[in-house]
Amino acid sequence: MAEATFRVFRGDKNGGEEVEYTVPVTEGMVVLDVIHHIQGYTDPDLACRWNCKAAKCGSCSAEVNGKPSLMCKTRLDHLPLDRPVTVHPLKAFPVIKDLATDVSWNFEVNKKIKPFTPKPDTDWVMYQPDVERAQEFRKCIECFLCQNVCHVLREHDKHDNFIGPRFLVRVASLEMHPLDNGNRLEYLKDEAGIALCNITKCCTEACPEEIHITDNSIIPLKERVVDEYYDPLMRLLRKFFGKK
Amino acid sequence: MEKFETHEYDVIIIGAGGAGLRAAIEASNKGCSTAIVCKSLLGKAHTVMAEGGVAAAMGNMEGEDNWKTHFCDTIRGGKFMNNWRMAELHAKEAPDRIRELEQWGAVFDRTPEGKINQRPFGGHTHKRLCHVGDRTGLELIRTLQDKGVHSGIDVYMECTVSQLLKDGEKVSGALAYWRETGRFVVFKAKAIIICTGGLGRAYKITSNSWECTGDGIGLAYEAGAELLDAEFVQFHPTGMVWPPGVQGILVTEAVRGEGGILRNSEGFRIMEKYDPERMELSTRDVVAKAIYHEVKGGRGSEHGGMYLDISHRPAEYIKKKLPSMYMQFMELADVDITKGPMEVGPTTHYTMGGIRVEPETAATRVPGLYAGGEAAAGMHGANRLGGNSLSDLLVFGRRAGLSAAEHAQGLSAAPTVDAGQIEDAANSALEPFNSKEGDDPYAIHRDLQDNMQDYVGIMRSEDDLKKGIDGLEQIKQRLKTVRTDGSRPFNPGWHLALELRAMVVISEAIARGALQRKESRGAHTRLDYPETDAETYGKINSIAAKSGKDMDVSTAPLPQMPDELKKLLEDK
Amino acid sequence: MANSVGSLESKSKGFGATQRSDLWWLQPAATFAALGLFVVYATVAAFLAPGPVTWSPNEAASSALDSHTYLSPFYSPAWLFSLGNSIGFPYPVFAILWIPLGFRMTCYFARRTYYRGIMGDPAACAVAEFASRNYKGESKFPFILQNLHRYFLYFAIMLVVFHWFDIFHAFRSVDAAGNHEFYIGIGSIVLFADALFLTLYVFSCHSIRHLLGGGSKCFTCKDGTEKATHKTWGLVTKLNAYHGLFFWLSLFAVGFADFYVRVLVGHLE
Repeated sequence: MAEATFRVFRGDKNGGEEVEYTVPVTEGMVVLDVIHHIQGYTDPDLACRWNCKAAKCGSCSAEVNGKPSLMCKTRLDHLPLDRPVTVHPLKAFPVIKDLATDVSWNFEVNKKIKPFTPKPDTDWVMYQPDVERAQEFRKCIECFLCQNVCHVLREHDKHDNFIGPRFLVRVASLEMHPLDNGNRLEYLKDEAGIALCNITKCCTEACPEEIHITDNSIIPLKERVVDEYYDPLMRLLRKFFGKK
Repeated sequence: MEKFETHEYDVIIIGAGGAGLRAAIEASNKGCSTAIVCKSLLGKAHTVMAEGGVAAAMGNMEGEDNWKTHFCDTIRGGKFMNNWRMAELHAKEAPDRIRELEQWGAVFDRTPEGKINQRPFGGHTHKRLCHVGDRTGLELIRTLQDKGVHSGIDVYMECTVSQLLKDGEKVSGALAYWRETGRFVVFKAKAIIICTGGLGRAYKITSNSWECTGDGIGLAYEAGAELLDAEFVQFHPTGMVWPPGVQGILVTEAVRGEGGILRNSEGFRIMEKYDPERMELSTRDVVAKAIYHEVKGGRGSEHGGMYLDISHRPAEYIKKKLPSMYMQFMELADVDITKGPMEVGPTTHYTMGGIRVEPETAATRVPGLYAGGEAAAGMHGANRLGGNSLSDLLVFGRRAGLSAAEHAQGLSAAPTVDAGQIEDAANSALEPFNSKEGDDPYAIHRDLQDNMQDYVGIMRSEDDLKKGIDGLEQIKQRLKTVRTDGSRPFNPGWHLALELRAMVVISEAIARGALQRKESRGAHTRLDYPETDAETYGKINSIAAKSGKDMDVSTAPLPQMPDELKKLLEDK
Repeated sequence: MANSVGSLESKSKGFGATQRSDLWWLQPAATFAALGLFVVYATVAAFLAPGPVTWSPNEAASSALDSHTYLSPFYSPAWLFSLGNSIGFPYPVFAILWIPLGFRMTCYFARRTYYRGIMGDPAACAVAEFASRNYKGESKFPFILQNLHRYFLYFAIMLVVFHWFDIFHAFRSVDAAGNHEFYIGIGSIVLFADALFLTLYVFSCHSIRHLLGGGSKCFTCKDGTEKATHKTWGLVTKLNAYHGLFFWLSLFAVGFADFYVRVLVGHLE
């Protein structure tokens, strides 16, 4: 039977090391199968999050050969197996143990986003074209790969000033909900730190749900912030014709 | 006992799936201090895997649909084993629960008139499933999650409850451990709601995620609650069969709802033989057995399943209505479902059985203990209709939250937790670390899965079931000395060792319930008793409860529905 | 089969540090080369000629400004060049060039491209950057000026109109007597390509997508009938998917058109 070698990070917040494992390879195998094999036959205490194994829950995020990916959908036949494959935890978050990282910051950020605020007296009629635009953002499975790959968080550690692509997507899903009446522009400009995003699009490249994070959520939100704060002409027009 | 981190709430919900979140929102709205304790991250629960939709007789597509039709479909689909009152409440309340979700921000697919779109599904007379493409569960859980975080609910993520604590007969709290550190935490509570979902991980081929180990069912059983009709385990007819690593992963029934056709290796449309009237939209038990028979008869697909083909639909339509199926097959199996058929076969999917509850209040027989969602039983009878589980979560999650809140508010004093109980529970949880000679939990788990798959699977017989029960006895013995290596922080081997305890309990209830029920009905099929026995077994539920150290399996009369509901069923 | 292969702390963490084993540096390197080439060419070209670079097949053509056949797109519209000249710009071509320069510099696609390819911020995904600086993104001067993109867009749309006007010139010749007749040469096609790609580039812009409907909360009126903005948004959305491609195509086309006209005129001899 064919075999492949994996170098998996083992350690905790105090540091760690790569440990090498050799596992048998079967057809259609994914990296998460490798981790399960290691747990089941070699190291039962290898820590790793996973739930559905079908790319629907976004739990098994890791960095495979340096690329942020969902392990459950990274197939071995798409990796060069002639050399060892590295599997590491997400870099933008503190390691708990092995492949599990502390992503609790994300849940704190989410709490601060103004929730869905329906228009008063709506009859809840919505049409497909509007619904479809918002639905793209609601595909997000919160794997946090975009948060991990975003250099504002990963390289510059701006966790206190920037909410990251995941939550810009969430704000977009609310701002583009046809019946929402909330205003999140001041939040976006100040607290959310949307200007820290320099649209280098790694989030979009990493997204396993293929959400067009940059083009369809962040840039439209940036344009909305421009409407409100950086476009005197638009402001003047709004004054004359009343607020839309 | 002061050495343990301790928190006190009016209501504790174990599990953060659809039912747990809905229950928490309700309890919190009623003014109770509320916490959710869940063993995964928030929003990762198995509810995200629900694909096809949520059933509610809103009549947006076909105006004649109403709760009565939905009720009759549910009872017929459940082969008359359902608790009639639960089925009635469910059919009546589901549409309100959907509207409520929409008001909390859910964005369902629309009709041209701007109403919520509904799709046809197996066993439903009308187009009834409100959906968001094929990721309805994600929409539901995200909506509830976002509503929940703004409702002042505390969430203890990656925190597993290992035992319920009692004050006399009443529940008084729970002992849990943080997965991250392995440290214990004590929750004191006036009421506890169990919303921990199903137990698919007891089987080898399953659509369920790692969490579905029947934890809550085990906790309730140990605390003195009864288990109802455990033998009814739904095998979803369409799981993936190839490649091996993805075997069992769900292929949504929406594929058939959108017109998918099942063919055998000879190209024959198999449902013409097994249910010519409803064809692919027959109930899941019928379709699963049809596939089983075809494969047994040597007409299986290349890897031992059936061919499910939707490629006659336009490619753009498929990508729009079944986007995650398209992606799943493209990426995991190299199959383009817009061009060719998928290979599918039965997979363990859902447990109709579970904790026995009062239909209106979701209360177990243990005061202060409630259950909702898949962990609770009665609503679906012998077979669940697709789409009825998401509506079940919402309807009975809310009811559980409501009655737990009322119970908590009605107590004159908070129950006390006993230090000795906590000490014992903690010691029990740490046992695997003290074992030096025992088996590895992964090895025991593999054997349990094989045992259940081989002897307590989709087709059952007395011989097999007895073998299965013997196998379980051996596994129980091995579990007593299960060994965990390593340390307490984030140790999956230790977690599995503790989860096995619940899995073994529920597996025994399934096997012994199946042995007791000498008939075939819905999801429970006996090769040695192929007929449905309306006179004897049609009138009883099976009950499993803890008696001393052992499980006592018995029967209870099935509650009989009032005449006006009986008449509904006769009319159609 | 488990054996430790050493601590990770020993690995370098400087610029370019990554575990990626693919050719991640290829794209930023190619970007750097392509943008660099264009900037050098455009700078040299712009400083080269004192007046608009025009060419006519008829040597005896009148010297009037609008009697040319080909006009290098760098100098279009020619009247703006003249205006710059008359108010005494040292290099009047910049009376025009600030428009495409501003539009391209603030373009969302171009920003991604030069932040990655020139500034290495980041050079590629999951690749380490230069030693930590005080990163401000687009929140402070000068990058806060990126928010002016839509104003450059308004001017760029005007530029598109003038480029098409030049196409009208590029397909006819004028003799000394001032008679017009149909003409077609390679340059006509080259200038046509420039106008076409510039149009596609400008009308696939993210700002125009926002202004033509994307900015509205709702595409349907109360009764479900589609607003016109949904259609315009839909159209721009389709184009927008290729905005990056159009950026490069139009950049190449405008450079090549200028180069071609200069070759005809003999600037490079």
